Amino acid sequence: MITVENLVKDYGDGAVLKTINLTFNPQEITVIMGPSGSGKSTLLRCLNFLEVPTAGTVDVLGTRLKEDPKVLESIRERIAMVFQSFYLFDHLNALDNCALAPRHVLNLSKEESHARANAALQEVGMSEFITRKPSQLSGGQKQRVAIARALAMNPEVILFDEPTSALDPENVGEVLATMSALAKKHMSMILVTHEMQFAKRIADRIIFMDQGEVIEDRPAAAFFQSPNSDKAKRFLAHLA
Amino acid sequence: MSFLSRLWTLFVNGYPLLLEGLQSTLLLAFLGTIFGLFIALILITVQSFHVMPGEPFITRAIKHTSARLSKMYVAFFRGTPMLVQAMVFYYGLNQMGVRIGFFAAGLIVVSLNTAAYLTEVLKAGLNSLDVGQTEASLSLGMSHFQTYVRILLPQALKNMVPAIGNELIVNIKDTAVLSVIGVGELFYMGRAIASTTYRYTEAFILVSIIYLVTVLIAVELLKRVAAALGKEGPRLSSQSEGLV
Ligand SMILES: Nc1ncnc2c1ncn2[C@@H]1O[C@H](COP(=O)(O)OP(=O)(O)OP(=O)(O)O)[C@@H](O)[C@H]1O
Ligand SMILES: [Mg+2]
Repeated sequence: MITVENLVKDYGDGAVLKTINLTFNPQEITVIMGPSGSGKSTLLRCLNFLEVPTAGTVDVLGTRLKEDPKVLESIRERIAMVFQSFYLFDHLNALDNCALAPRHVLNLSKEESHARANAALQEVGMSEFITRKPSQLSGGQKQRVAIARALAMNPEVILFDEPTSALDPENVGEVLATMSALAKKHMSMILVTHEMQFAKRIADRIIFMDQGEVIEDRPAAAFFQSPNSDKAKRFLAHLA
Repeated sequence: MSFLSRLWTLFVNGYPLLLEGLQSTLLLAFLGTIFGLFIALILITVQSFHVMPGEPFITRAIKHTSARLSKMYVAFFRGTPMLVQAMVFYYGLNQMGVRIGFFAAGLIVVSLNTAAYLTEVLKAGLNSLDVGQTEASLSLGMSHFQTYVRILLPQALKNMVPAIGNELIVNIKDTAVLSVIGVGELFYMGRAIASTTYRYTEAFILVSIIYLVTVLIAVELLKRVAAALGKEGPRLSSQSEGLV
């Protein structure tokens, strides 16, 4: 589904990603973990070219990514992304946040795109709030709308970058529940999170990163039972 | 005769002229602000084109050049007095054999000038938006241009409503300089009255009072417009639904 080969990212003072090779499979839930600054977000953002790699290749759904608007747009409409700080469109209500891309990227009719948006908002339990602007929603609600905005595109995979890290503790649960529901439906997901219990519950596979390198890449159960590396051991102990 | 009664006499005798002048001033300020806003939209859009290495050379060249020209335009109009612009424009056209009316010439100068200022305001408004919204939009497969038109511009425009009002107020006052090219606005009429009656002080005080009252009324009206736009959030959102 997504293949990364010899991926290097350097912002100018040393490589932040050092020759990463990975393959992500459909219907798989991959959790990327690792200490702050290890390159998790950078890796995720290279998968849809929000960050352009310094070297190496990224193939998504059979297409090699390159800095060509047509190529990127055609791939990005098929892989969605959910951000730590939601990034809802502040001037649009929840429904329009979700309907915008179906309407203008997928070129659906107004009715169809609204139907999509409504269905997606229902899936995340936000049907009551479709006319609310982002400023009138709690953090958890905003993130659920952001997930609905992704779902409305019927994506083949969703990338999540620490979707609960910006939330107040009391709002974390509702977002994790929403993601668990997606996992049950076998949505392909690649997610960066520090929520250890959650990762244990839903992950098929764990990628553990440190200083721009993949240190471990193993089935989740095996990883949690006994991490191979001392770094991962210490990391888990620290979070537990 | 007391000073006040002299003022009053001047007003009673001069008011048809003053009214005509005021009308021109308001028209120039209002239309100039509207046209200026439209020109500013073009200027800032041209500056906002996103250039990608993967695009054809000719596309990139056009984007670069037009952005460059737009910036030069803004620099010129912000860097020179409107008075001088009016002179250059008016005599320049004359020399080229183009004859247009005083009012039209004045309106063009105000519009071009306003455009430069509003372009800067728009630019600041766009820059103040979180780049995250752009990334979210791009990650959905929206193009840079779609992101600009549907996400960034509506928010920048909404935030600049006070600045547009401000520019209107500035234009009510600054259009006085257009009297130098013979535009019959309020100050021009005041000067005409002064030079026919020889009551210079009274004439200009009278004109000042009219400017002041006009500006105060305009400020009050703009406050209400802003409040209405703010309060009528649903109204605005139904407009943006229209976009969707
Ligand atoms: N735009 C940028 N310019 C320069 N350096 C950057 C940029 N973005 C990230 N970095 C650097 O790259 C490294 C990896 O950052 P990244 O955000 O990918 O880490 P992370 O694993 O997601 O960390 P966190 O858990 O804190 O989110 C860090 O050292 C960071 O300072
Ligand atoms: Mg990160």
